[in-house]
Amino acid sequence: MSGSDGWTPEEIPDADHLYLRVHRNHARKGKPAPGAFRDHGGGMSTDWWKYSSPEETKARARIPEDKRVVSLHVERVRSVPMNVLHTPDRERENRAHTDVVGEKNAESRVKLRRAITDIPIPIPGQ
Amino acid sequence: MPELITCAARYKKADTRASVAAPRSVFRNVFPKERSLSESLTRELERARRISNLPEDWDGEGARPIDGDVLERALSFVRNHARWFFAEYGEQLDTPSIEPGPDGSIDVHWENESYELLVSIPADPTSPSTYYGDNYSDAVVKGSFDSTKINRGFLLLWKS
Repeated sequence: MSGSDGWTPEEIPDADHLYLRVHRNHARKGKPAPGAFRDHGGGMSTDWWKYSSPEETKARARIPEDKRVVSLHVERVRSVPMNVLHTPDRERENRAHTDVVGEKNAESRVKLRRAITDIPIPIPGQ
Repeated sequence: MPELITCAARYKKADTRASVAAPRSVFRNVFPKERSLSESLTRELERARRISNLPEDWDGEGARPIDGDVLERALSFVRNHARWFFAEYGEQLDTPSIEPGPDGSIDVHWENESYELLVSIPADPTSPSTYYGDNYSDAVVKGSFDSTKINRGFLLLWKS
């Protein structure tokens, strides 16, 4: 449920997608290496597609040209298992910010990598 | 080529008597490549050396640089297992990708149509290495181990 001020965390549906920035040094054979799946502070930072486009996610990087964006399917991320928590970042004005919380060990990183999908095109209003 | 062989033999003889090292380029041209390591694996071992040149914050999101010691442990792990595998089965080991992992660790990653295996070599030499792999079905290997010793558990995937 969306908060009245627009910054209240919401429940993210299983059918949705998250955008993850991947550095070019972590890209191998067209796919991110397992090392791309790591925490920054409280979890692995991603953007919920409801409030971000792949281009916007890329543009939030310090050096956008070094990054590409991949899409993760929320249901598959949760099945790793991982917690998917919408954590809007008011300071950086990023309403899409979402943390993927859980230990990033060898098993979970292999499985997170398998949650990558082709970037879907969000359909407005759905 | 005969001149090179003579040259290498001279260096080798000198080496045993007076510890004079021959230029590596001489031996590289004369002696056959190590059969236990495939050409692609040898290339990957060389390519991986670039990892230790990554600076602090190389990914723009606070990544730690990779210590040379971690890299050497990762390369030794791969070489030792490849040599053991060849000695045991007469086959060359599949070539993994050797990549920077989280928190200054190194990932050794095999991925092909038959199986996927990820071995994480930690930055801390006193911590065990960890691994996970499967054949995309019910054959699963996971756990921790001392990367300086041979882990026969990987055979479940390497011989699948």
